[in-house]
Amino acid sequence: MQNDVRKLREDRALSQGDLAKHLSVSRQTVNAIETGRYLPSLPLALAIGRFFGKAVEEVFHVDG
Amino acid sequence: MIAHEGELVNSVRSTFGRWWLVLFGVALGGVMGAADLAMNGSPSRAVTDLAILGGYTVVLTVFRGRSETASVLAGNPVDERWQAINLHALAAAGMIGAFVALGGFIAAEATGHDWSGFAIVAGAIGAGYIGGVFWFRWRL
Repeated sequence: MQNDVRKLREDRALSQGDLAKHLSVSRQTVNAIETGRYLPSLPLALAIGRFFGKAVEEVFHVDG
Repeated sequence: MIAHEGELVNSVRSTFGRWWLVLFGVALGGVMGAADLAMNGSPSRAVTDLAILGGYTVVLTVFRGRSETASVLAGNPVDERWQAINLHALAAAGMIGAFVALGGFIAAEATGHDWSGFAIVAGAIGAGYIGGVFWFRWRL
């Protein structure tokens, strides 16, 4: 599973800490999601999509 | 994620606030120290038991507001990833405990020593795992 969280965040000139604060998670968790080490739960994925104004499938993609 | 925690744990937490863990550590250290004193008659070992557990929980309580890792170790994961880390760590600890208990049981049996302690621990871990599977297949 890949995602565009880092690109979307950087496009908005946000730090990982800023995004973490909006999502009520730790900065390390945002980093782990961006690097693909951690796959978020559906509620968190929905919150990420909502934050960026996109559908979940526009943010998260199945590999290949 | 598991949404429900034990009501007793929540009740203790809400009653004692952020210091519930220290109280738990000191209480556990006190019990272990008392047992050590009763078995070995050594006050210094009893005090050491109390200091180790009490000190460990004080350090975790003081640092858990600044460190996510300390927060998990203090039993209060800050978000779902740290909850997942907590569950993985618990599973790893259980697995290691099971292997140690089984290994100890086999070694004690092979050398003619008393294996009952290892058997009780291994049995408790096994029963806990099987019980956990049945409990969580109903709850999750």
